[in-house]
Amino acid sequence: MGKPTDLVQGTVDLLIMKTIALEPMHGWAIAQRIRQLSKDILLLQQGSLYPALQRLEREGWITADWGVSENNRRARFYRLTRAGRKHLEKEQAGWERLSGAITTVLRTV
Amino acid sequence: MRTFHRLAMLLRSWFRSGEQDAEFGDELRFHLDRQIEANLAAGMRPADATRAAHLAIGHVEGLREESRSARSGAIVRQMLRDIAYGSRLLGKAPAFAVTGILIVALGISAVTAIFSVVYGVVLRPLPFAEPERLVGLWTRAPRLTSLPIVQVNAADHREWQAANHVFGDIALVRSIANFNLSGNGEPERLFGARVSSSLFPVLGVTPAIGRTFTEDEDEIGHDSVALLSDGLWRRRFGADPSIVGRTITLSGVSHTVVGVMRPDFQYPGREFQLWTPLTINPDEITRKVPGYNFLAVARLERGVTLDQAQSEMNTISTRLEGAYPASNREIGVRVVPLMDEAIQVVRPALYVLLGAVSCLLLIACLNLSNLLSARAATRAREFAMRVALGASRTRLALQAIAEVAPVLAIGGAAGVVLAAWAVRAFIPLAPAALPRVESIEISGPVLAFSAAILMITGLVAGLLPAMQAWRADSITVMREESRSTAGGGRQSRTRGILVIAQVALVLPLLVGAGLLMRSFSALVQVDPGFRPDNVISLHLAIPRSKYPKDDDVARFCARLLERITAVPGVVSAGMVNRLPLGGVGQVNALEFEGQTSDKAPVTVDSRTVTPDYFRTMGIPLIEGRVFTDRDTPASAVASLPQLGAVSVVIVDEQLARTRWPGASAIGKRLRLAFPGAPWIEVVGVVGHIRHDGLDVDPRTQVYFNYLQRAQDRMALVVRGAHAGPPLTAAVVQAIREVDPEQPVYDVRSMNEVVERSTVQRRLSTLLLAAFASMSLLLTTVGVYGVIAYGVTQQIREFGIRLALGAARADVTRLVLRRGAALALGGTAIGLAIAAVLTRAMGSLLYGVKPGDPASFVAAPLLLVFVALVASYLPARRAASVDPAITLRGE
Repeated sequence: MGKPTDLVQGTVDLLIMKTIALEPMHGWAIAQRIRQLSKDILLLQQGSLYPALQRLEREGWITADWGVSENNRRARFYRLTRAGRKHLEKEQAGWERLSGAITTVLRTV
Repeated sequence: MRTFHRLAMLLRSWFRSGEQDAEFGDELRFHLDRQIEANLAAGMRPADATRAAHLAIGHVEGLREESRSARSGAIVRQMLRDIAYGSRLLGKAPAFAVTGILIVALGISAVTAIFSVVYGVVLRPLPFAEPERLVGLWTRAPRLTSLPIVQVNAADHREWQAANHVFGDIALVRSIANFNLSGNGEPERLFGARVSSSLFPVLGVTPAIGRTFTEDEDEIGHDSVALLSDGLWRRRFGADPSIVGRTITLSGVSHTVVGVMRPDFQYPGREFQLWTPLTINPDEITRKVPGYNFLAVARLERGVTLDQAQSEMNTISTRLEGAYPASNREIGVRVVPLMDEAIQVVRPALYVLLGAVSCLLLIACLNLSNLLSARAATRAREFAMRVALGASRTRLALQAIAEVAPVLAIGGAAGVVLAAWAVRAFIPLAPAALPRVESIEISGPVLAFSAAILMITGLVAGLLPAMQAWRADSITVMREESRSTAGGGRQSRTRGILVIAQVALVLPLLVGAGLLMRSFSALVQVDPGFRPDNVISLHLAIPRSKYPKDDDVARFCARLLERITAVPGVVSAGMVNRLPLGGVGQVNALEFEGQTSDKAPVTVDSRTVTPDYFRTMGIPLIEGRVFTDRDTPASAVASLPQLGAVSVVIVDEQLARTRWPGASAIGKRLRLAFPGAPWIEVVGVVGHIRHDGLDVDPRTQVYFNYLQRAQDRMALVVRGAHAGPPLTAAVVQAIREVDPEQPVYDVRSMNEVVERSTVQRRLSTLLLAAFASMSLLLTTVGVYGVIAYGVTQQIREFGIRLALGAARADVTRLVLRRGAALALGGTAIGLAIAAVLTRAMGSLLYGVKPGDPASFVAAPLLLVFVALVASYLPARRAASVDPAITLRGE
């Protein structure tokens, strides 16, 4: 598969952004949610969550504030910015197009 | 919106990076805690829960490190940290730090100082509006003179002004004008210029206070106004804000001050303190009276090129040749960019100095590189270990470069300060021939240049240690530590090459310095034609307002001389209108009786002298007689009022020999090459002197009697039993007694005058010798360093040799041979470079050829000798090694 690192990086970003699209979450919650929703298929690789979060924050797609977690502890909550939301839509559409195309090719050939 | 966000993040990471780091730590800890809780809740044992959590999240320290380096601006912060670390390391090795700083300071100060001179004199644009459009106009008159260009004629100027379409106004300047300022203080002679009112608009300058001249002040009768320079206003008038409207007395005539110019207006030169309007004798405009006495300045119209202007002026000249065949035959015009004429002469010398100082800087760079590399070698183990522990080689290399930074910063700052001090000290001593000295300063562009040089120095010098850090290899290092006999092969070789390069660069400097020194010593041995010992000189500007007629001036001079010769201690006194080697001259074109009419007239130095002048100056009388006071004007007015009726003349022996070979010159007749000039008879022949300089001899001299051709700018020379301050004071006192309002200026002994005429060469020679010496010192240290290091590396080998029976002398010889080899290798290359470079020095040499064998032989010998001296101490150390100790040790 082409350039695995790029693909993985792009997909991690997409997953994270989609996860926090509905509501702001802290890092642990994001990891948990992705695991739950994908039924344990997708496990974020060691050490890829926080670099991705920081990259997205630097790019301006997400922003973070300190808040209080469900167990009354101080945690950093991430949410999408408006630009991030638009970026997510675009990336999601692109991904669906890509995966659709791959699926089609795999099925027909 | 996103851009704002990113900018905000950038700023936050810059100023709050510590905070961000701590926050990320908290975040990770929170995540860990939650994961551990979840694991415990899922039933894991506490130890397992913790371990699993750590595994899941990844390596915490690694994440934090990654986060730190990914943050914006991390590279810069890393550099700053490296620099801080480097500073601490330097603090622990003061000898190294001080040496490095000295080397950098030396190189930077020399380069900055010389570049500031080059920039101020050659590169910096003139301080006028759009200076590239300013030009000077000059006359070409091959029939009248052998000089390539001369000043401009007033009548021609009128025609040019009316006919041309390429310039706006053409301004005229009469630049030789003395003014005696009297009243409110000591009488003082000021250097001033008479300028047309259009000069200021042409140059595009405005006054600081008041106004410049108006057009009607160009008329005779309305010209009693003056503009002061900023320096004069502050010095003599205490920066009086109400100066405009005050009257001052210039040469006995009342002038009203109409304005003060800005400090940076120093046209035509820095010695001009005063400007008055230029009024032109109407006889000059109607061509009744000839003369080429004015500087002409003009501004090219927009879109006009220099070539276009030149061709238009050529067309106009040709038309004038047809219209006025008597005066304008073969008269042409040259249009030259305003700055060029002045700097042509000094440009070669300045560029040679710039080249020399670049060599010095390069040598300093190489020395610094060697120094840093030696130091990096001592940290080889540290680097190897850090690489083994996982440091990236790029980081190490960058760190090696960053550690140079404190040495560069301090050395660079010290160098600039040193250069500023040197430049400030140099300016008052600058030779008169150096133009635009007022523009020499450590200005913005000069500092920018120094900063660039500093950075390049750092990169070049840091390259070697950076490469060493890059190549750090723990295995090789460990192996080396066990003292193999290889001696760090590659590094030693590189360092050897660096030293050879240094030697190759020093050699041309030494040869160049040798050539200049030989030139200079040849120059000072030239016989000037007179005897300057025990003679003092001073200058007088005799005001026409007080002594209006030529006879009055002559009588005043006679009274002065009478009074001065009565002073005890005075042997004789005389006067001349232009002092030999004084820097200014006066020329005229001569025709000789009996010459064919199509022969070009000869241009000579024309002088007005008093009878005792030749005796005072020690100029020998070869034939005939000197002037006496009985040579009175033969009859009244000649057709040329300012010349009077000239009837006797003395020529120098060179003119006599070339003009009338084999015959006596006495009784022959000549005249000035003006239409209607009367014939003059030769009554004496004197020795030829050097007037323009000791190294040039372009013209012969012709002397007129002061009674028959009075001049109001005279130099007084007095020969005393001993020439010193007491004699000078007595002479000045005598002058005061005759006329208390007569200022004197430029009071110097004749020896001083002769010295000053060579000051430019002296300066160039001194500077080049200084650079060569500094470079030689640096190179010696470099050779010593390399040889000493080699000896240290191979100490065991020497021990073995001695143990096996070699004599100590053999070992010494071995080491000395190494030093000599380095020197010879560098010399071979250096000679080739020198052969090429000294060719460019041709115009600076006198009496010495660029390929002068003495210099080319002496320099290598000196270098080899110096290399041997540098190798001597390490050689002694190698020879005095105790074989038992070295074989046993390590």
